[in-house]
Amino acid sequence: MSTGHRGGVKAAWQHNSLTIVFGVLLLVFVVGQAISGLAEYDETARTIGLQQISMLRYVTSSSFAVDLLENWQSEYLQFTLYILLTIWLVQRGSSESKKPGDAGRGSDEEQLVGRFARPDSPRWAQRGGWRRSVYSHSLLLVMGVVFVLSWCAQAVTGRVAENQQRMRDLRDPIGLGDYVAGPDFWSRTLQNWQSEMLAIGSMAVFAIYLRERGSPESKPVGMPHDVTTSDD
Amino acid sequence: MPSDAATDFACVHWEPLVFGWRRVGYAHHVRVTCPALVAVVAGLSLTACSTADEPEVTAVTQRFLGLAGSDPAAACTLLAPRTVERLADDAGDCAAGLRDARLRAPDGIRTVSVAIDSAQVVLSGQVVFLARFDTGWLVTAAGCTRASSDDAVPYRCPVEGD
Repeated sequence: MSTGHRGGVKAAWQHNSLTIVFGVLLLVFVVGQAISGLAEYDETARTIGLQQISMLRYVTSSSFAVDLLENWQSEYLQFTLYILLTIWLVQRGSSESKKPGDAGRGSDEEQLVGRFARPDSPRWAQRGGWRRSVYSHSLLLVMGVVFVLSWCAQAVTGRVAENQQRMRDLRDPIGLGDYVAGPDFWSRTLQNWQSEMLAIGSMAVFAIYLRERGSPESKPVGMPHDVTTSDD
Repeated sequence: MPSDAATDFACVHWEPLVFGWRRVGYAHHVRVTCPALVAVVAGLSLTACSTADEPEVTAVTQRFLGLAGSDPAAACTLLAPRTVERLADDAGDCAAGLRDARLRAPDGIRTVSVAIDSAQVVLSGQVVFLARFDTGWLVTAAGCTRASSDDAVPYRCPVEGD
């Protein structure tokens, strides 16, 4: 490996280590979920005298997909709500919040758009009209769309998984409308939503009083509790 | 989108602002509102309204019910292992158990439902449940009739496993 190539790899790691590590962790945990999920599926199959299945069959089934998607949709809901509500809602002293009095969309100068854009600002931030408007909300839009799509996919796959169980139990399968109005869909949905709101709420409050030196998610160790952001 | 959910969802017909469930023939017609689902299923073929498994499920059901009265020993080869065991435990052997069950011959099939490795065939006078094994679809319960108007209560089946 040439010195230039090594330098390139090192630079890529230094600039993208957060994404790389979380991407690897995601893969590791999804693989782990597949292994444990298949073990549970096959254990149930043995218990009731049905066929065990292969890993390939399991990870391409709605049984695996609904377990994945019910978590993914709630994560994107969490981000969607967090991005949206932190525009207007504040928590004094928290590193997760704007300062009291700073609620709102911010001025063009603060947001570096239009004539206040820098030469290296994203192109659509320098433009006007619908391009700036779309780009100004692009993060929320993408998070929101991914949430809606993954929640709908949870409904579709969850119905199939639920119907498999119902037919194993010698009961009638149900349609999508009945499924999304029923207990399995809402139990899966709400058990995930409550944990996401707990996580945000906990972080907002803990960040007031607790510190982790070096983390951008924490205020500096010596910053007073009632100071809201590190910009003060 | 997993293949079972994709083909299951391919049977969805869209009608706005109505939630409902109506089964007709071999397909499930589901009226839903969820505009975002359009994006999810954008690549699916909406013309494929029966899953790949429905013909085999139907064929196994008809073959099983056709043999149950005339050749119960052959019909037993189309039963799931646990169901065979249960019949043998109750009646001495599987064939005797099938004779005792006096299953009706196959009549008009009303609906076929498949979800992952489970299936249900609703005929005019009975319901049959099946499961997929490595050797193909096998009957897990037959001759089933509704035990209650509460759909939380399972069907009552003279032929079934545990």
